[in-house]
Formats: sequence, structure tokens, C-alpha cells
Amino acid sequence: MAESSASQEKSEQLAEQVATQIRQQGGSLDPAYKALEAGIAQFQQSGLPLESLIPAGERGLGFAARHAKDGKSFWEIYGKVVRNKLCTKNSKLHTLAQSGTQLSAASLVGFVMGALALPAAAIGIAAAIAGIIASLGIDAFCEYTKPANVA
Amino acid sequence: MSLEEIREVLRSTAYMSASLQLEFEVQRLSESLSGRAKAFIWIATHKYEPGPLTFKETWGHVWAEDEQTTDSFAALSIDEKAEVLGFFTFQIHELTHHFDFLTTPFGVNVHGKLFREYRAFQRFAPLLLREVAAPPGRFVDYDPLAGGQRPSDEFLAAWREVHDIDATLEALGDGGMPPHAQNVVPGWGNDNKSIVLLNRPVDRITVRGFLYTVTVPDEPGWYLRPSTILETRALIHCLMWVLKLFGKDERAREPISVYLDSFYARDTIEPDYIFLLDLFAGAWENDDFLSFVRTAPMLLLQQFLMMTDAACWYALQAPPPMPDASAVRSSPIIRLFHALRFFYGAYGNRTAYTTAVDAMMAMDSAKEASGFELTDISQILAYCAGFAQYLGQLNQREILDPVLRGHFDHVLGVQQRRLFQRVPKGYISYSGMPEDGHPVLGIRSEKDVDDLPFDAYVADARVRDWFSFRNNFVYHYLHSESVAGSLTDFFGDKTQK
Repeated sequence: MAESSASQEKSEQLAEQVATQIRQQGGSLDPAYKALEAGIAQFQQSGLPLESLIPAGERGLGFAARHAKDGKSFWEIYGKVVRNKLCTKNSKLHTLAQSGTQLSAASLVGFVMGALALPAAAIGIAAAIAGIIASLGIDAFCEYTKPANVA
Repeated sequence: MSLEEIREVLRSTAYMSASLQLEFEVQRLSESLSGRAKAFIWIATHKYEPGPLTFKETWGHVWAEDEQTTDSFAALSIDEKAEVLGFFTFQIHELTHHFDFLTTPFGVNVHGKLFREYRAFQRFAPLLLREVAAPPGRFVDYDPLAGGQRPSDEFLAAWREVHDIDATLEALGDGGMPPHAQNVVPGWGNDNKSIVLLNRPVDRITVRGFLYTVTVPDEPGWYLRPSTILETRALIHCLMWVLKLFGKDERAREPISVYLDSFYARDTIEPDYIFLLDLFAGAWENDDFLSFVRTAPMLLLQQFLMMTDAACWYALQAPPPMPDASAVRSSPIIRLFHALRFFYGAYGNRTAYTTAVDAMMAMDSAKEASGFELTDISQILAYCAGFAQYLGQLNQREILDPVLRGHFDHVLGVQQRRLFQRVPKGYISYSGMPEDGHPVLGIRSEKDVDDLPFDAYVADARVRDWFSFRNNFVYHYLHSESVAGSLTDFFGDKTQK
């Protein structure tokens, strides 16, 4: 129990760090990719396949399916799916965006874990995602401000 | 920018093998093509009036035979060339998957298991909802006895039935991911030594206790699996089509290299696509397949593609478990190893076979074949046709949901007819091993036309919902309330049949 709470705390710190670095680097997601890589390595130590993290519906055999090899390719493949899952019109993020609440990256870690139903081993990945959301802002992350994407 | 957009569209294109549907954004593809690529397509298809392209316009021309087409292609940039090659091949890729699932014993094995899984869930889901609500984590890793729980015997028996089917499907690559690492062990039985496959040592592993296969070097967690065979065939068929378009001679070399560079760069794609091609190219002392393509004489490249295609076709004739044999006979991987080694040996010994089918018949009677429990292909095909028919009858008797029953009836019916039709022909299949790579051009009968095109069947939304849910539930993480809601929706209140 103490170990799990320490890991939660560490992840919250990481999320804040990622958010700060993204802001400092003018919106570059490189710090998040680096954090994702560390999170992926941590997750893979659990023996679970990385592909299990993001539900994708019926399995399809594709023309040239991409392979997540690092933080950047992970985000290129799964970023859109993550956004679609987190930003639905019934989601907590949507409610928060409407109320104009600003959330810290640390407070978003638990939200990301819960909303994506992630297993405990994926907390490092959730921290990186939380950092991205906090640094971009909910509106920009969910693209709520784009007319075609208003939930 | 156009090529990047085309890549995105084509990467989002997928054949959904369980529901038999092609997912493809036709509008987005045509909007993403650059102006010059669009202009080339009009020239290459000899399209003189606006409107959708007909089959003949799309597939009825050999570009090398028309000077205007070859000149126009030569004038395109590398990216534009890739755009048009992607445009003219993606359907061949997905059609290859579609035909493979509907016309081979491996397809019968997979669809038979998807049917049996649904039937087992029909029994298990009400018990799960009553006794547990929703299992934590991925269903494929679920152990109802973990944590000191003691569900009813009825529950355990029903769970075991679903679990055993799902564990088998998982090993075969159904979820698109390897199993939990604890279910992949080094070696085959007591044999932990590397196996030399086409001059290259590869590590043996056993997946889920029954699938003997090998690891993919430098790709942690990946192993040679049926998807590797399916994707290899799909890619080969596309390359054979490009070869045909360019006259099957030296003119095809550049387009093939452009195609592979643009869509199949090793560091960006799943290893399934080119692992086998790299492995086979290694036997000709090449670092990888791309090097082989750049230097091999075109006739050798053609033979190479035909041999690899034939080895994969041979592998897909692995049947569902037959009463008189072990899991070895049902392994497409074991059949593939046998075929690759056989072809390589025959090439080295300069043993010539008139056709790939003759070579496959010789593989069946080779002395090492008895160790793999191989049996006569006609016997396999007849068994599969009968098996699909038997499952079809079970479906009619036992599946309560009329929509899902209708789906399984369609799939198993098509398989029964296609496999039965193949019995007297054995390995011969013009759509299974199409001369120029295009499966539809191998169709020879009216009945094939009724059963095999994509538009011959549209799965109901409920069917798609089921396969989407079961894939997420079995291999991913879902909220317990959404699991309970979906299981209730699919199995909660059905009138007894």
C-alpha cells in the first residue's frame, strides 16, 4: 500500500515536471515522449504487452500497421485514441473545460488512470499523458475549441 | 504532405477478419491524393469520363504496355509514385486477407473458434454477471481462483471453456499483441537450442503451451505467428501486382523499392510484414529483403516472391485440431518451417518442380513430414468443409441471438462451400496463389463471385459491436460497469430457443 502511494506521488511529480518542461520548450512534446519511453519500459517490466493498454475495437489486419517503438511513435499511434476516449461529451474533462477549471498535472494522473481504466503498471504512461494535457490546456488537448470538434 | 496523408489513410485501412468488413475511408483517400497523382490515375486507367473507376479500368491495364502511362509515371516525384502505387495496391492487400480467412483451413480454425467463443460466452456471461459482475483486468489473463475466490463449479467449467478458446486465439495472434510474458516460454518442450532457419539461428519459444514458434530478433515480445504469414502474403501479392504493372522486368525494380521504402520502412511498422521476407532473403546472403530487391535479377525476385507465397499458402492449410492428430498438425508455423526449408533445400539441390503445387505435394510426402503429422491435403480440406458444416448446424441449434446467428451462418456457410469446392483440387487455388497477385483475378466460378467479394456481405452493426467489445474485453482494460453493461446487452435477456 505504501509502495503504491509512493509510486502515485512520484508519478504526480513526473507529470508536473513534464508539463513544466513542455511549457518551457514552447509546446514541444519532446519531454513527454521521453517520459512516455520511461513509462513504457516500466510497464513492459510487468510482462504485459504494450498494445493491451488502449482498447481499439475489433482487431483489423492493416495495410502497414505502425509499431510503437518509442515515446513519439507511441503517441503518434495512440494519441488520437486517448484523446477520443478522454474528451467525450460526457467526460469529466469536458465538464471541467466548460467550467473553466484549471487542473494541475499532478491531479490529472489519477483522472487519466481512471478514465482509461489503466492497470497500476501503466502509471508512468499516465503521468506523461497528464503532463501533456496540463501543458496544452484541456481545450487545446481536446480540440474543443475547433468548431468541428465541439463535443 | 500528400504522401504523409496517403500513408495515414492507408494505415487506417484495415480488414476486420471477424466481421469480414473492410474499413476504409474512400473519400479521404481521393481527397488526399496530390493533383499529379490524380492526373496519373486518370491516364493509367484510361478514364475519359467522370465517375467511379470500374473494375476493368482499375485492374485491366498493364502500365508497361502503354507509353503514355510509363512516361507519366516516370515524370512523377518519388512521393507521387508512392501515392499511386499505394492507391493501386491497398485493395489487393486487404482482399488477400479476406480470401485467406474464407478459403483456407486456417480460416476455418479461426472462425470456428470465434463461433465457439461466442457460444461459450452465451453460457458463461450470465454466470459471470451473477457471481462476479466483471473480472478485473484483461479477460484473457483472468483467473477466477486468484485471491482465494471460490466460484461455483458451473461457473468454473463455463469459464474454462471460454478461457481455453481465448488462450488459443491469443497465441494465434488474434488480439494483435503477444500474450503476457509468463505465457511465452523458451524452447520447444525440453529443447532450448536455437533452430537454424534458412541459415539464420533463431530462438525457439512455446506460446500458451502449444504453439511452437520462434522469436523475431530485436523485437522484444514478438514472435512468428499466423499474422506474420497473412501479412507476408498480402505484401507479396501487392509486389507481384507492381511487377505485373511494370512488365515483370527491370522496369519494376524502382517502383518496388519506392513502394517498400515508402510504406514498409522497418523501423516504423509491425514486424509481421517483412520478417519472413528478410529471413528468406538472408538465405540468398542478403542483409534483408530490401537489399535483395535492389540487386537480385528480376526473374529471381519473381521466383522468390512465388516461393515465399507458396510456403505461406502451404502454412495456411493447417486445419483445426483433427481427431487423429495432435496440435502439431494444426500449426501453421510448423507447416511454414517445413515449407521454407523444403524450398530452400530444393533450390540448393537444383531440384525443379513444374509448379508450386507439385512442390507442395512433394512436401507432404517428404520423409520429415511424418514428424509433423502432416496428412493428405484432400483429407484436410474435406475435414474442414465438414467441420464448418457441423459448426453451422450447432449455430442453428444453439445460438440465441438471431443477428449473431445470421453472421455465423454466413461465415461458416461460405467456408463450407469454399473448402468443399477445393477438395478435388488440393493445393490448387487461382485466388489463393494468384499468378499476378490479385486474388479477384483468380476467381473462376459464379459461386466464388457470390461468396467472396467484399460487397457480398455486410455485417450488422450488432455483429461489429460484438467483435469490437470482445476484442476490448479479452485483450484490453475496460471499466467494470461497461463490461457488465455490454455482457447484459449481448447475453442478458434472450428468449430460449
